[in-house]
Amino acid sequence: MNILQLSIRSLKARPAATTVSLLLLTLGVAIISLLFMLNQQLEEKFQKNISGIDMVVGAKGSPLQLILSAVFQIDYPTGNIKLEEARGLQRNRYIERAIPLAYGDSYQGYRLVGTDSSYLSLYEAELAGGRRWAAPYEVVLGSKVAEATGLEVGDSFFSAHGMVAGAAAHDTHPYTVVGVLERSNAVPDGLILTSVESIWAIHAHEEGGEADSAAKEERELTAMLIKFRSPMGMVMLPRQINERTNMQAAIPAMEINRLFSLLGIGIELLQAIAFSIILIAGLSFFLSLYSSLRERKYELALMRSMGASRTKIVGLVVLEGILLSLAGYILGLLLGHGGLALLSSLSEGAYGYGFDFVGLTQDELLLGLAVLVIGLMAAFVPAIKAMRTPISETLAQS
Amino acid sequence: MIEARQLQYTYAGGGQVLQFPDISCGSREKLLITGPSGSGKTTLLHLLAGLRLPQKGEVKVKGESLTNMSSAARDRFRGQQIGIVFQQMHFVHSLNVLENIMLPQYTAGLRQDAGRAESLLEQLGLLAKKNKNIRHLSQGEQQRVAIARALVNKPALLLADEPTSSLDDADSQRVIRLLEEMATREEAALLVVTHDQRLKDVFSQQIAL
Repeated sequence: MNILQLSIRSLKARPAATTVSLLLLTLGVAIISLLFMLNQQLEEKFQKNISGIDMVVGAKGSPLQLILSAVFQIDYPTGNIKLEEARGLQRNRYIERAIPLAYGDSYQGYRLVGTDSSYLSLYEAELAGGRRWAAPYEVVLGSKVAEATGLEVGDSFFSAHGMVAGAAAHDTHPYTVVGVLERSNAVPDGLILTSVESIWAIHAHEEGGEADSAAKEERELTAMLIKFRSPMGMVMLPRQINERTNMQAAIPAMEINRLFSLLGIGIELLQAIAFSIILIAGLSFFLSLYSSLRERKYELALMRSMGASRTKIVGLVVLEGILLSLAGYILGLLLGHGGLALLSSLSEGAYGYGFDFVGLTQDELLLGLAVLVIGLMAAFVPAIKAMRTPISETLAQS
Repeated sequence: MIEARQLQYTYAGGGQVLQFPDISCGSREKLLITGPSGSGKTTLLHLLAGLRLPQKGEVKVKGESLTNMSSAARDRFRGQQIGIVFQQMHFVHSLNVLENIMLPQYTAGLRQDAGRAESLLEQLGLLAKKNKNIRHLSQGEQQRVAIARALVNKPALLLADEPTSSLDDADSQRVIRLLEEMATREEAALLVVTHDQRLKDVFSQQIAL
């Protein structure tokens, strides 16, 4: 027998009250830790995916939509831009690199993106097997796509028109898989990459396959990912494009910051709610401990009469607060991290974005400290009350 | 073993001043303190155990003055040297029978020895119930557990407060004999306070309040 066992026994002796406090605490900690991780990982993911992209050019519309669709491949495109206009930009002296993107088709919900090999170098994506696409209708699969569809090098498939799985298929010409990418934990993982020409060809085919020259005039891109040669580009180009062309220029860093400042309000609100839950857990524990003293004061007086000092009695009650805090904190972290795993598998299915598992963040350690303080505070008043219980009077009572 | 001189106690709310006769009980001796209800028997017992401090007078156990000790030292001394069987039997209900008997070993800071607790339970015929919850024991069994608990630390002094008040004649004799027998076996001085007239002849040494 020791003070730890006594505290645990005492917590177990009022199972209902202890469970309620523990559940509330667990829930609060889980929500906050989940929010911490989501916030941090979303920001990391977003930052990782926009590195190397200073500006995105696409059709006019919502700049955020353009960024989400062209960079992250999670929103619908704003429309198409004329190839000629886009080519003009590529020759601009402020621009170091312009990666063309043509998208709008998909296979089993995974987007088919026409681009060139500079897209792979942007994300430092390496081939796990096979080779890069060369001829039209050759594709390279992102690692998640290969995993989910089971397609391998040498297999072929028909793409669907649009972004939704099960949409009308382009059944005129199949694509052939010539390569599979290694996992990069970035956008390409969830994409099927091919040449821009493939996308043009399949749509030209679809529209009746008339003369190439006529089709050439109509050739379009969906967006271009731009890297500037110098900071001057950032100053000059976006405004120039937005004012003088039919295209739109959007700055990923700015849009992502805007998105996060919007999300931030929601996250802060959720954190406040979760923290209130933790406080309520503390309050409920305080009440359960305080009311249990009515019954337990006999036990505590008895222990004093058998040699336990006041300090030991205080320690016993305070330890209950510490134990509950620790248990709630640990369970909450488990639930939070487990929740992230679940959320990750859901969002990976829906958006092709997953979350990684990380160890304890610094925020979570601070949260642990806060929970401990709340547990101690909840136990403090009952402990003082227990300490002041007069032994003789209490033991003489029935 | 225990000596009390010129003890005087007044309750916090004022009222009557209790004055107690001097008490002396040597080791292995047995002393009965009798008195009617309201004569301050329980208060006297608590004074002797150092659970309460007198306004005047002094209590010495094994030559050490309880009144001069710090609160923590007194608690510890009591835990190691004085076993008490209270009139109201309180237990720690989250612990089983054996654990309740071992509890004083922990609270007094002594080595925890399940064998010692079990041998006491065996002498009291309760070994089979060592893993039971206290609530599942009869009144008589609970009293025997309380006696075992009071003796587990081999105290120099065993105090009992009205141990027979709720018992019939046969049980009352049985309990007082048990206390006597256990005190003798454990070599503890036994001091019983009671208003129970049935006990007036059990011990040769008596003090009436």
